[in-house]
Order: sequence, then C-alpha cells, then structure tokens
Amino acid sequence: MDGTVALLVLAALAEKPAHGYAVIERLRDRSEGAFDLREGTVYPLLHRLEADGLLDSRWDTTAGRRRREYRLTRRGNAALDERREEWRRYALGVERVVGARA
Amino acid sequence: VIDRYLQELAPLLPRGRRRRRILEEVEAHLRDAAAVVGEQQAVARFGPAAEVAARCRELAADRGESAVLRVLAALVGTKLAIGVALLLPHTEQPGTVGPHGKPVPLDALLAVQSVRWIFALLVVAGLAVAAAGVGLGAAVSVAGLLGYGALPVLAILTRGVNVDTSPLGTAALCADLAWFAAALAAVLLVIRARRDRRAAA
Repeated sequence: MDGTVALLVLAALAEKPAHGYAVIERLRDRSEGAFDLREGTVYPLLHRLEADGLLDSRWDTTAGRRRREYRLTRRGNAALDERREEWRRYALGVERVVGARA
Repeated sequence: VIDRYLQELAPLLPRGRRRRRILEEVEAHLRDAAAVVGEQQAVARFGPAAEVAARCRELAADRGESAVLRVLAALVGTKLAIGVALLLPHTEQPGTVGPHGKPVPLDALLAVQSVRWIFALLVVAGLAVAAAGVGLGAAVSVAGLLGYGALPVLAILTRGVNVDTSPLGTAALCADLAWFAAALAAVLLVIRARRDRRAAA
C-alpha cells in the first residue's frame, strides 16, 4: 500500500513543487475524491521519500506562513518513470484477470 | 483544537530538530485545512496523534539503523586498514621514547590510536543515532567516551615488550576476532529488524 501511495505522491509532485497540504489536495482533486488519504500519514511518507533522495525540500514563506515545499529530484523523476511503468504492467495484468469474461 | 492536538503529538515524536520540523509542518497543514473545513474536521482528517507519531518514529528508527550501519562499515574499514598496517614489518616510531627507554614500536602506537579512533567514532555515531530519536544512541556515546578516556590509561599501564600485549599477540588477535563477530552480528540484526518491519508494513 505504501508503495502505491508513494507513487501517487511522486506523481502529484511531478507537475510542480508543493507543500504537504497541496499534495493531498492535488491527489483528492485529480482522483475526483477517490484518494481521500488520512492526511497525517502523508508527512512521514514525504520525509521517507526525501531521506531516500527522491524528494528535496525547503521552507517557503507565503503570506507570512512558513511551509515545507517538496520537489522531485532527478532520482525522484527516474523513480517515478520506473514506478509508473511497473504500475501499468501490474494494472494491465490485473485487468486481464479480473476483466476476463467466461 | 489544533493547539491541543499539537501538544498531544509533540511528546510522541522523535526528539530534536526532526520534532520541530514535523510539528511546524503539521501546524501549517492543520491551519490551512482549518481555514476550509474548521479545526475539528481538520484534526479528524489528519488522524490520531499516536498513529502519525508511530510512522514518524519508524522513519527515525530506520535512520538510526542506517547511521549504525554506516558507522559499523567505517569501523570495519578502519579495522581492516589497521590489520593491513600491522602486517607490515615491525618498525619503530622515531623520536619517541617508551617506558623502557626505547623507541615506541609503530604497531603499538597504531593500535592504541586506532582503538581510540574507534571509540571516537562510537561517540559520534551514538550522538547521530540519539539525534535521530533513538534512545540507545546516548548510551553508545557515553560508552564510547568512557572507552576513549580509559584506553590511554590502560595502554600506559600495560604497554611493554611482552608479546602477549602486542597487537600481533594471540590475545589481540582473539579480541579482533570477537570485535568483527560483534560487528557482523549487529549488522545482521539491524538488517533483519528492518526486513521484518517492512514485511509487517
């Protein structure tokens, strides 16, 4: 499950850098409400992806409010491409099995 | 509501800089969310403090283990380098005078210094692990400090021409063997614990 959420987070950040709250909003909007994550679990995941070198972060101050903004690193972009491809293969396999009619 | 949540979360998080960063991020998130859905709902959607903290601690533990692994790798590397150095023909350190009025053998100096480096590395590693929020780190640091301080005293008391006290003597070789076994066991334990945790997740 964590692997799938990591893929979603990386994909959400591929468009442009964002802070945690915006990442969650982006996921919710793009999935049309299908991915309504427990918000508190996203931060440890962001930190883990950063520790793995897939994300980079810095403090950003907007309207007097400090937020930690995350962006994909070069390694993060490569990891996203790789995971996307894995996901497509997996989804196709599942569809072939589940969608098959007798 | 948000302040109460942050007060509940704070003591459950890893200590130090990491705790401050997480709290600041969580607070910014909750204030943003509260502006849209209200404080009560923002906190409810964020999830129980204990659950969030558990995930943060898990990450801190992983980092602590990574630090331990890196230090152990450094220690093994140091030890191997010392081993190679000790295999070189015995020489003496010019300009030094030992307890018997003779120049101090180079291998003895190397041995004492290298073990002191190892203790020094333990101190640094322990501090790094403690900074990552793992309590054991502080104990490791204290042990390293004690060893670092005690070793020169022991070296002065025991250094002599007796082969048993030489870094190439049987006792020293057995000690090295035990050291490597302990380091290897620690590495294996850390790797196994990490694998178990990932499998459980």
